[in-house]
Amino acid sequence: MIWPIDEITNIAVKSAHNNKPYGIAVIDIDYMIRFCRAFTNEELNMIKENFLCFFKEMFPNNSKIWQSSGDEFLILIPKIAKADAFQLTDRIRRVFKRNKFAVNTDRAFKNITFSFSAGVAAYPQDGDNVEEIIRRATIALFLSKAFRRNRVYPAPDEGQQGVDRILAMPDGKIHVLAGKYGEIGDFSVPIKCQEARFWEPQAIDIDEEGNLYILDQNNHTVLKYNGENVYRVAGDGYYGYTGDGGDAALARLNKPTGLAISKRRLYITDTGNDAVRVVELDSGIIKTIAGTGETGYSGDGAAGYLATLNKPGGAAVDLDGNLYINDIANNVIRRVDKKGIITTYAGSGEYGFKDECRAIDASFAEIYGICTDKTNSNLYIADYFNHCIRVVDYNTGIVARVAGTGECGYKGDGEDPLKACLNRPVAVTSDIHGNLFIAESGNHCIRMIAAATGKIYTLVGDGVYGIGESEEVSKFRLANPNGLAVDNSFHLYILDGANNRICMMDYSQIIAFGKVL
Amino acid sequence: MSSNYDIEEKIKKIVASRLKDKEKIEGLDYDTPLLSLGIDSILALSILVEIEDEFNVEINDGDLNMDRIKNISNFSDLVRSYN
Repeated sequence: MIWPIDEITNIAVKSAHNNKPYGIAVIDIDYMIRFCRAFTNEELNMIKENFLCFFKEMFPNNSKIWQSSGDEFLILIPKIAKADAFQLTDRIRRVFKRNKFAVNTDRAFKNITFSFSAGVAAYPQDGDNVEEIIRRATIALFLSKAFRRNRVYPAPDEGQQGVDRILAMPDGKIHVLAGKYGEIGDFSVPIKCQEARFWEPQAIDIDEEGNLYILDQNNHTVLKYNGENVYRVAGDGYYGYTGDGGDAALARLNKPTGLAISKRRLYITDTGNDAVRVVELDSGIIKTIAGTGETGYSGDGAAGYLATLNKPGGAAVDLDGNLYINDIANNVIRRVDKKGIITTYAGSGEYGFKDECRAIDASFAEIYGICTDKTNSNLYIADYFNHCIRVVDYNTGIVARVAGTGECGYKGDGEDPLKACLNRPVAVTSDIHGNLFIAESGNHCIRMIAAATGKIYTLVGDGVYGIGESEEVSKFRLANPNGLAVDNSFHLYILDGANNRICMMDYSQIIAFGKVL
Repeated sequence: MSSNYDIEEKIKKIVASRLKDKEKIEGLDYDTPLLSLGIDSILALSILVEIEDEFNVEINDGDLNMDRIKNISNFSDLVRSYN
């Protein structure tokens, strides 16, 4: 836990005396890492001090404020009901985004503005102890970040177990492999898997030998789990844009968010640097394959490293070695072919839903995870705000929907996936049998389209966020799952994003019986 | 949207509610410079957000500078421009 729980508990206990309510807001300054590159450390400290002064002025006098070593704040507001704490924090957000916090720096851009995302939870609605209330406020913070930031979310009420779900493997088991909710760590030395602690991991993938790679965003690193230890393979743990031509483990990345591995090459979408880096796993050498480090949308038809991108996110590689990059802020998918030439592969750039047309003419509503299937026939796309999975057929170049009606919801298990409702799908992957797995951040679940039946089912999760502890799949809950990977032995790895951990489930019984249920 | 007079009066009430000094509240007029009341930029922005809620408008950040919110009349003009 990054917050001093004992100290917060002491104050909260006093606030909760005589059953008085209190609220907790967990605030994260949006995209602070981008500003880190623009200011000196001294200026950044001054800006952070200005944030603190602002919060002191805006929150009631009896509030208590803690600041993390980074850009997060925890504010305990005594004697306030949840709805009021939410309303107050949201009002403060609206003032915050208009205030000028860098005005006392001597910069041409000193009038820039900042925004924040926040989650709010309260005693007694959200729990009877501080740790639980902070946990729920943090989950709400993740929700506000998932909805494009610059917003405040109240902790959602604990719901009932999803009544509409049909579990593909009701008696299945799931295990927590690494990471723990509320604990963050670093990887200056290799560490045993069970002891590994991540900091907002964003993506996972598996190489041909079955090693798991983990993209640990706030540690600016890519980690490898070799079955025993977890250790860095790219990024030295600090943000920056350095190291091309040298040892990847000594290079610097900036808030990377996506990765893909194929044929001993590790591709990393270096989101904060608007670039895609590639590591030759045999030599350990890193270089830039796409992007110049400048933000933009240019360079199609020429070498990838001369092009500009705008916040590259998900990545996938087909069996021919072509790389696909989700160019998030440009709302398109770029492709870097084997010769290193970049083109726009899918998306007109327009925000919307245009389907059953040439991929290049299609429109999307924020693309997150992408994957190529194991038969090298299709590129699958998690279309976040269209609440569906799209597919581009490599042979015809036509895009079509494969799951989700477009309506946000949680229904349709046991039926044709085209008639099912999804809620903000964020990651997608497939196995050698053609089963497709979908991580839905809004439903906090993993769905599966079973190749044997063509129907959609739930593998784990029930539409309500939580920190699953039991090994029973039927009782296990996730919080904002945001990454998936499968190995050839039918192990599904799940990045349980808001819980800062990786879970694993063996789904071989589905394969053994040739059917679900 | 309220009448011109209503807008000014409502904004005056919001501004007055943020002042502690009784003398300043009594002397508050539509063209009183907010800076002279000890209202700094953060407080001015807080008042702006309250005004947005009162009149159910959202002022574009691009329309904001201290010249446009330096007194109650300016605030009213800004709100009216969103009518």
